[in-house]
Amino acid sequence: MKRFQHAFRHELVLHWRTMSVTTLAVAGAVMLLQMVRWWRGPLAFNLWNGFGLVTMVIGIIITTGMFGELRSPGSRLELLLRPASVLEKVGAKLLVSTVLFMTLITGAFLLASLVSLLLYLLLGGRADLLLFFDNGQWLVTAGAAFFDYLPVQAVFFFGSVYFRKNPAGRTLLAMVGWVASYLVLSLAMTRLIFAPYVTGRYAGLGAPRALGFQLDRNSGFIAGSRIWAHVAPGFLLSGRGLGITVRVLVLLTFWGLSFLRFRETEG
Amino acid sequence: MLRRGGEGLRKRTNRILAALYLLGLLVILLTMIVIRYRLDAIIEVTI
Repeated sequence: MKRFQHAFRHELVLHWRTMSVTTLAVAGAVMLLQMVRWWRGPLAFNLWNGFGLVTMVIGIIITTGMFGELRSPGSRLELLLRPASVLEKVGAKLLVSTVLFMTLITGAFLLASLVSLLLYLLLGGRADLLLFFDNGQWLVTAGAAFFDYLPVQAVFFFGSVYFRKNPAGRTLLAMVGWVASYLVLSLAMTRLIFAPYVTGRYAGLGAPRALGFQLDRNSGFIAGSRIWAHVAPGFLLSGRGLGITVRVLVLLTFWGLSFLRFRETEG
Repeated sequence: MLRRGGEGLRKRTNRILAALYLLGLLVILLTMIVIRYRLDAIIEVTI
């Protein structure tokens, strides 16, 4: 535990300043962009609308830099020889790029909201004061953004330790390639598996019917949600549950892979 | 990483990534097959 604290403190010292400057600068920039509209008089605005997107973009930039030490020979050796286990080193980096980053960016946005509110009051604005804090929902917004950010962070965190050069670009390209190949292969599989439905050549002569519907070429055999509800496997219909399961799986898989990859780098 | 010949798939992470990719494809394939079977069960073609 003490070694983990040391590893964490090391990461903190390395990234603290960059992260706080970046988050404050971004929150300030978002605030100023909103204030451009104030030339005719103060208008209440909600900074938290853009919070999710900003968190994602800045988070990806910070996460892909987490293993920056691996990219220069001197600091690479220093990182590998640092007296902590692989789990402690990776864990410290994870904690910094998730919890600490999220705390900092939420704090920066809160500060920007407060400054905007004060300026708004100073300039004589009186209406919609709560709008500056997302109608009091800022913590909920921040929490939702955190859960959206985590799986993306996990993938880019792995990219940071996997790719030696340009980790952000290469991770993105790898993701695009992965998904695009699935799409192409799925299209091919659809044509094979659903051949009679795609081509319209059924085993009979007449028009097909399902659940009392007469299906023709224009109706689309699966477009009707009633038919879809009948044929789709249960897990595809679970909606929210499926989303959460996929997120948790992506998170655990890529954090685990990052740990494994870093251990291979050490070996 | 495929830096030296033959090194690529010897690393465990690369093998796991390949396995995950294939597992994803398998899930898509099985889902489609299940849908096809269920579709066949409810579609009636009148002659």
